[in-house]
Amino acid sequence: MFEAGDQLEPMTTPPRDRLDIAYMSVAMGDPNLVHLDDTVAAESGLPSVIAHGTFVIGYFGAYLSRLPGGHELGELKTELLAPVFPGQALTVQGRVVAGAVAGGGTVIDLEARRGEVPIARGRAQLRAAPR
Amino acid sequence: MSLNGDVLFNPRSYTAERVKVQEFVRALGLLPTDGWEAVDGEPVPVGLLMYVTTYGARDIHSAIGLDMRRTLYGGTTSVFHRTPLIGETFTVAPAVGSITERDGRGGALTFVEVRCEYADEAGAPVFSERSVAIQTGVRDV
Repeated sequence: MFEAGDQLEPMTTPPRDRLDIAYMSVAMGDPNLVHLDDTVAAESGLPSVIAHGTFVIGYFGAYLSRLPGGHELGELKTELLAPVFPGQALTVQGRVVAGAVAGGGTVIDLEARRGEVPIARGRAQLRAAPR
Repeated sequence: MSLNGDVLFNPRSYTAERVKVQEFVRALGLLPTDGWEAVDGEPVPVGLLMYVTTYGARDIHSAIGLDMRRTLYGGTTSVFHRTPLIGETFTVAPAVGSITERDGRGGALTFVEVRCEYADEAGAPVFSERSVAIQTGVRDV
């Protein structure tokens, strides 16, 4: 059971290379060439292709699913702050804002960082899983 | 060019197929084991259900008038009325929520909120999505 203010254990994500990013484009059916073509990325002022923001949401979801206690996700807000480039791993970590998981109604703030650089922030609301 | 916020979209069906779930989890690098396979009835991984995947980015962005080559993703608010499950078929109904402009380093930034409602085959709401697409300004040459 978590208490408000608890810092949760961090999770390190595996670095994704260009092929993994291309694979996500296939999985999502995403036609945006900013993930596949450096020339297109440069037109948006980027030094190379970037990973989909979906990677961060997927990692937030995976992080939450690994928390102990019977809960399910009620709401997840994610805001992307910076791009992720090929080869970069992230650290995801949560902090309990309110509530306790076992009793439902827990709010967790999430952060994804690349070293010291904040990549995304989020807020998750968990509730007790139906029996 | 001004964007079209009044465009209407016909609902479409999307099935959270096991193969797509496996592709998604593999792309994340989070396969539990080699040879892991998704199973119908298990929760859909968070992040897979987005309008880009479930309806199609090209159809929505072109109808609004967004330039795909200058459009990035800003984030999403996801509301789970219940947990969506692998193998389920959803009716996906998108709409434009809002269009706003701000100044950025490279010129004007246009924020487009795309809302999507997902209902199950009985018509019950399962999931609500509010995603933000950001069109960047054209760089001076």
